[in-house]
Amino acid sequence: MRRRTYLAGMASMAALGLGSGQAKAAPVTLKMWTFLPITGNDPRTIALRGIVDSFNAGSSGYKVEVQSINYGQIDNMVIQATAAGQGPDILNVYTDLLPLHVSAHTIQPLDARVATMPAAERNDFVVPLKFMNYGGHVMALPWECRVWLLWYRSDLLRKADLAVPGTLEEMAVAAGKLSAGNVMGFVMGASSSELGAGAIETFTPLLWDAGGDLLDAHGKAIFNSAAGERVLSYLRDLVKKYHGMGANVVTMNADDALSSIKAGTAAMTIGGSYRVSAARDSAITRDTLLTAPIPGFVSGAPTPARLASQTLTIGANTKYADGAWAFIMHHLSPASQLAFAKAAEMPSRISAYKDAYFTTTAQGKEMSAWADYAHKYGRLEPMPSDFPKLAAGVAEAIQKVILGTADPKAALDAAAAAYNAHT
Amino acid sequence: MNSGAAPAAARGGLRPRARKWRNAALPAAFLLPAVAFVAVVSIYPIFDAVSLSVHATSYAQVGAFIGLRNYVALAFDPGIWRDGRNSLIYTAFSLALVLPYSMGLAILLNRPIPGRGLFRTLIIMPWVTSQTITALVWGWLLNGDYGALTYLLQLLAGHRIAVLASPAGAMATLIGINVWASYPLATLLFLAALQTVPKELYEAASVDGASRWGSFAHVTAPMIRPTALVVIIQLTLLYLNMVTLIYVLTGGGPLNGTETLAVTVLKMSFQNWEIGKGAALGMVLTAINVLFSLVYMRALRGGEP
Amino acid sequence: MRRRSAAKFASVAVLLAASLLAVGPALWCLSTALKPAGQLLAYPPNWLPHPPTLESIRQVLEQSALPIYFRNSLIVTGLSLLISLAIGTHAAYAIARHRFPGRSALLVALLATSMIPGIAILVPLYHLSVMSGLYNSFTGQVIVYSAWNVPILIWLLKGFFESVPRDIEEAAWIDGCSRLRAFYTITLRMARPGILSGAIMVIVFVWNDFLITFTLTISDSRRLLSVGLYTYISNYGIQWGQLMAATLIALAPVVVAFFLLQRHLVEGLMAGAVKG
Repeated sequence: MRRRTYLAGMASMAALGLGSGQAKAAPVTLKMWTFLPITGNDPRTIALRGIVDSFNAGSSGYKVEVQSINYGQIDNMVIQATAAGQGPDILNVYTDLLPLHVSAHTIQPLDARVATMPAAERNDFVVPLKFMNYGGHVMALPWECRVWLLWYRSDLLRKADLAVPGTLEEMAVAAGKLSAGNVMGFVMGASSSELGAGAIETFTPLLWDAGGDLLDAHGKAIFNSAAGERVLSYLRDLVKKYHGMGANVVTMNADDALSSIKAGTAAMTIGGSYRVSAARDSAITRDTLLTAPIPGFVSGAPTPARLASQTLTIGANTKYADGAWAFIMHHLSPASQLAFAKAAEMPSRISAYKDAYFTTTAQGKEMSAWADYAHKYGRLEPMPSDFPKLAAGVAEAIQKVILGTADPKAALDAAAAAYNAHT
Repeated sequence: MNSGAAPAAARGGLRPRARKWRNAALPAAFLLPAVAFVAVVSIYPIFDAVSLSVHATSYAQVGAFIGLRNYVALAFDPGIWRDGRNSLIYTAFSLALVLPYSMGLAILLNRPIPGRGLFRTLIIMPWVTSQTITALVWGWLLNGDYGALTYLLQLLAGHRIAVLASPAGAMATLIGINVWASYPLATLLFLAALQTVPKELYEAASVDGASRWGSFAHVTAPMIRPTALVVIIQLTLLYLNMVTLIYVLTGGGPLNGTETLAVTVLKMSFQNWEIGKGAALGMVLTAINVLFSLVYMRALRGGEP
Repeated sequence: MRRRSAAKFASVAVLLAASLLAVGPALWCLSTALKPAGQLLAYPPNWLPHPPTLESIRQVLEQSALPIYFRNSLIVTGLSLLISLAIGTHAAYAIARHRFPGRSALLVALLATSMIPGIAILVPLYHLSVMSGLYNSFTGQVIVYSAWNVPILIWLLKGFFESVPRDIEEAAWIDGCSRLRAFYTITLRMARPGILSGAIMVIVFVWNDFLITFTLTISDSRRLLSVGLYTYISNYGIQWGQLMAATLIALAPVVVAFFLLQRHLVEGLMAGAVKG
């Protein structure tokens, strides 16, 4: 075993082109694949490096080596590498894409290991583990959670003498008033690029608020309902009636929407909690980018909060599942949770919020408020394994309606029919 | 091989036979690596792709034989016909713009003009820019929100225009960028062809009182005709099969307005994991490539005097 | 006389405009790469960085995997260049100089492989690399790149070898030079412009390719620059300054290679591609 361990370590070092003559018994190297960059100065990167370094400095006998892969490419790379008999030992999977990995057999069930956790720990997740359950197996553990919020530039709202909108109607009117010159009142990522993520992240909470659902229990698309029509009509009116959003959002993805908010060329958007700190990374937005629950169609209740998580799980081809599990546990420890919280990632463990950080700092308090919104109104709809097709269909329907090439009902019917024909 | 000993043996008694053997051995040895490489990396994969296209697939796994079901499904998919139309539009308009532009530049660069060498170097520069970089940099220039060209267009038009926002606008923009990326090699080939035209022919033409246009039509055009054939075939294949530029710049959108057959093959294979269907469409694309090449060769060779 | 100088002026004006169009995007890329972070998303845009800063370039070089990608690209491009030239020159020579049954059929077959769209055989190549154990290796990439460049090299060089007078080779044989030696010392040297223009074509192709390296590799230690550029397109927004800095760094070697070899390009294409 020792010898094999040593050889594996040497092999992975040789594969890296480092080929050194180190003679002491090297720890087993675990490959971790994640969308987070491992080099650079981003706060999340620094947090991840700290967690990896502290694990590697410990005496587990394992050493984690991180490979960062572009978030739009990572899941395909995992499928491709796993089918080639390779792939990571530990991998990061986004909840929306968990079913894809389950059906592509790139990850392994964690049941036996989760069963060794005390019940109190098993129930200590903001996003309950039932959402990680596929075919009766827990397939991943969340290490952070996120909720979608209304982002607004308080400086632009104040200049236009506007209050934070309490309903979607108010938001549309406000967006119209804010739109002038180079500034768009409201912006969303409606393009098909980046798997159409921006479109479905905006569409879904509004659909829920209108009383609709994306899919039925059999996985068939039912978003072409009256509720879906209401949401699309709203987005169309936002462009055509209120002039609060430009038709060029059909070329923008969620990244572009974020950049617009940062640049001050848009005043409001629906964005994830996890990106707020990135968007505040400038002298202007540091103090002026604020968040609120997404307003609903009726006043008094916000829309249901769309939840999601980044999770960790074990690769299908790993030889070192024990080591992978040890690292996942390290990553979910209170210290690691706090390190990521300081980098503006909401902890996935409920107990983590008891730390003084969440009552004494501005960022901590804000995250607590987000967590409250998530607890009270949170909803996580498991996405199907062909999530990219679903998202692309919704994005296309939104584009059609915004560009005026189809009415809401027709656009949604076409998208639902195309999706259902495929499944 | 020992080069000193071989000729000595060749000069010996067995000379005719040895010569004959060597005559066959040398070209065989020289050709074998090329044939082996091409067979493994281009020919074998085509057979594998044909086989994939008639099998059911799940992610990267290959399943049961399903005959032509993938092809039939493609034929009845209106999206595929739309993609085919996009491919043709993309190819035809790109060609229609690149041919005159590259030939015009080649003619200018062939004239005795101060700084000709520098102009040539600068004008050919886009050739070394990869499709990935071309897409990223032009996407940055044309960003609907804070792009430099968007701003210049806004100054010209008086209001902001997001050129990539409509299907037709995105296709037109993409064609423009494709022209930028692909004219240099055509320019080089035309320039090389022009330099093989003997000067005396032009002198003779000007003695005969031919106009500038006349000397182009009667001297230049016939001389560069074979090069034009090569350029047209190469560019057509390049455009029909182009993936990276389109995928990175527009992802095929908006509303699938820039989704070509080649982009759909990529999406089917590596985004939706329908690799059997992707392989079938790849075969259709190959057939289209062959068809175009044959038609061109017929039309242009056949028309030769 | 005046008409002629007016025409000359117009030619220069057109060439100037065309040059600007050709290098304009690279200049904007340079300006972006040198801008301080706060000016990147300004609208209206600032045309020049003030003050210029090397911060983005420093971040790319010191805090990202780009140097590793750069090294990988150098290795794979270099090896592919050597191998494809070695294979291509020999094959082109054999076809140009020797008459054997099936010669023209072989030539057509080799050239016809350029009609196969790369995208159509990407999945088979992936399968092949997995089966042969060359998945995620430099070797696998080098083999594919070399093979894909062989047909164009043959096409380019065949005409060249045909233009080298047979007499010169035969004179060398009579002087006691073996055929092989005559090929290596005399014929190849005379085909130098063709080989150099073939070299720049191979370099541009391999250095710039995205699809093969994207499909056949998974680890940072094996992937090439065009995939590496995606490092700056993150889930937290595009780092435009760093992306443009990385783009410049990625462009630099191929631009240098182009400047060094471009003099031979037209000459090389003249004898080979145009006539052949």
